[in-house]
Amino acid sequence: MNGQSSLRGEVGKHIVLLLGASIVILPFYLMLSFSFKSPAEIQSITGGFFGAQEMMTDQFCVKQGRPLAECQMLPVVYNYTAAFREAPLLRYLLNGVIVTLSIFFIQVLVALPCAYALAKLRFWGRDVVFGLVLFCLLIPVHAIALPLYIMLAKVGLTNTYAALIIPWTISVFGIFLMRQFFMTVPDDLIDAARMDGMSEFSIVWKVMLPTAIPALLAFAIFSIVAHWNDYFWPRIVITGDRDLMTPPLGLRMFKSDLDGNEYGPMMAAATVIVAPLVVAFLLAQRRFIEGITLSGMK
Amino acid sequence: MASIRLESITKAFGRTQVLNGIDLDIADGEFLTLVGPSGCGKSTLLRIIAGLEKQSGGDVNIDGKTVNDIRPSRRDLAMVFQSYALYPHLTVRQNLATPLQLRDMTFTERLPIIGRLAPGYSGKRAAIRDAVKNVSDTLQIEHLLDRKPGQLSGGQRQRIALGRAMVRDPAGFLMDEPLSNLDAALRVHMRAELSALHRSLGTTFVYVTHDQAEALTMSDRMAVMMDGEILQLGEPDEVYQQPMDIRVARFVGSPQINIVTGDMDDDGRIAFLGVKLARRPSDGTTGRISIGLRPEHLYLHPHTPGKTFCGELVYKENLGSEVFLYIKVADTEDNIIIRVNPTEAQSIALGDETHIAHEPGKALIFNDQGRRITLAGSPLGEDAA
Repeated sequence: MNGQSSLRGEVGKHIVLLLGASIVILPFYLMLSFSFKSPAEIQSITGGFFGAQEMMTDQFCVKQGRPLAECQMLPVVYNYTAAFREAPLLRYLLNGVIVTLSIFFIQVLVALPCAYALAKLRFWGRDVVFGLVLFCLLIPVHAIALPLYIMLAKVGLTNTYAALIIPWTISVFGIFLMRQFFMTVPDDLIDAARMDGMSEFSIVWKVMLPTAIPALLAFAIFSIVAHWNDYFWPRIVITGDRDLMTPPLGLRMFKSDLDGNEYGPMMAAATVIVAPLVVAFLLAQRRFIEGITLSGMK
Repeated sequence: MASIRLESITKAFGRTQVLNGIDLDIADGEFLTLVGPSGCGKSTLLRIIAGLEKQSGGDVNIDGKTVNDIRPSRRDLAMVFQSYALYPHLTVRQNLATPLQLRDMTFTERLPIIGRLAPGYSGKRAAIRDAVKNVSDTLQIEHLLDRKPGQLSGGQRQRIALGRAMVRDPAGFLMDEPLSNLDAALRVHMRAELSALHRSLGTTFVYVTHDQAEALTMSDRMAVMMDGEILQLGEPDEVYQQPMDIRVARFVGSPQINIVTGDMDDDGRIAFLGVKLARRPSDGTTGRISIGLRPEHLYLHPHTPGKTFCGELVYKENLGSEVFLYIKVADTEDNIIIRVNPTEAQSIALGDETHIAHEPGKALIFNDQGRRITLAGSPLGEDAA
């Protein structure tokens, strides 16, 4: 009796979870599926996940006057080659890497000493400063976007990497997260380092940083995902130069370039853009979950 | 090797006064213990000696030099922490080498690759390797050198922490409750080992603990601290046998000393629980007094008016070699504890009425401020009224 009711409970739970998961996964599934199929299959919604993969003719290739045999290819090959041909996808990816890594690197450079000072040093007004940090967590980026843009425009930094990076270098969330983590590091460890002769800066980089790796990884995931996927800010500061576009922005440009119904190549491009994050997540899955638990617990 | 001298050290955190003018002379090579209940300021005092905390007033002298403004690492003292405070991301070997690298190598020499190019690099590396080896030989921790602290037991970590302090060959060791996180058996073992280490190194040890047993067993001298003051400083025997303050008497000794209230008649004779003492206060004190009686100075005795008091046995604590009897005596708050040998203990049962006498001359008398009152007259024999 008891076993059966708990079994029923389990089944019910899984049904709810599966339903939730499918809602999240469905768009992703469609993206992946469309990136494999021919235009006809996409239009008629046939062919299952992979499509029939019948040879199709690349119209662009024919227009260029090449022989027909050369322009025959599988839809999946067509979609992905078109994606890379139509837009400098690799360039976008590279930009994405440069921007997100620079942001993360400088964020850590700023957040760690700040968090250390807020967590472990005693100075006048520390609580007020920490209060300000918390207050800054409440400010939405969109509210300060315009002043930020004007400031960057005045110093002539629009359409540069700097414009993409500078506004995000001070992460209040990062300071807060690391401060909470540092609070749990025993004072004795810091005192021991001082007795050993380390300066306060050495303590930050040689003692606190290594002990804070789990928290830093959690922060890395939040930071990199947020800035890799950011569409709003690059859209504002990158107005002309296609060479500076980040992946999401590139994707949008990509759409306007192609005919409206070229979903295959577009979804192929989207897949390529999302792939690095998915791969990174799969590699760091356990750390990711640890990190979320960590930031949730403390 | 260093003598440490503290001159009217005060410390306040905000409005809370933690230390009220501590004066303390620690001789070169001495094992001095600061002992007291938690919150008495002993750890703060140690941190002030180390330089980790800045005193609000007063001077710290090490070997005759005032070190008030000298950084912790420049005071040539090493500290062992209660939580061991090993660097969790470094191996034991690196943990041991770190203080030496920081002290002996320049900034460039410590850099990962460029350091190797610096002149004198390999010589310093070899010297550090030798120092680490020496210490690990002494403490028998060679087999642990390549592990990380997380893979070690509490006792092993404790040894590593000790090694990290020793490797610098400091002028003095500061120890902040280093044995508190160990289990009871290991703690007793480590006490002996620390004493031996102190003898072989001949270096000054300042040892902070809340455990009076550690203070009694290891130290050359112990300072009993309470409420930011040193109540008594002396050799363990002296502090145990001649406590000058009722708080010291209460704190030192396990099980605790028995305290009973007594009165003094006009004649100056002291009486408690119907027992009269022969000795009288030498300074003419009158009023309420407290009498301290150590469990080992009380014994079972046939009923004798004026010499014994009686109570009911409520609990026997059998430690094998000795038995502590807890006796409920009317008019006292706490049970009176007496120490007897196991054969004696068998002769009485729970609930029995027992009569107790004290060893003449062993009663400790304190006035209403808790200060010790000296008694006139030869202590032995006479107060067996």
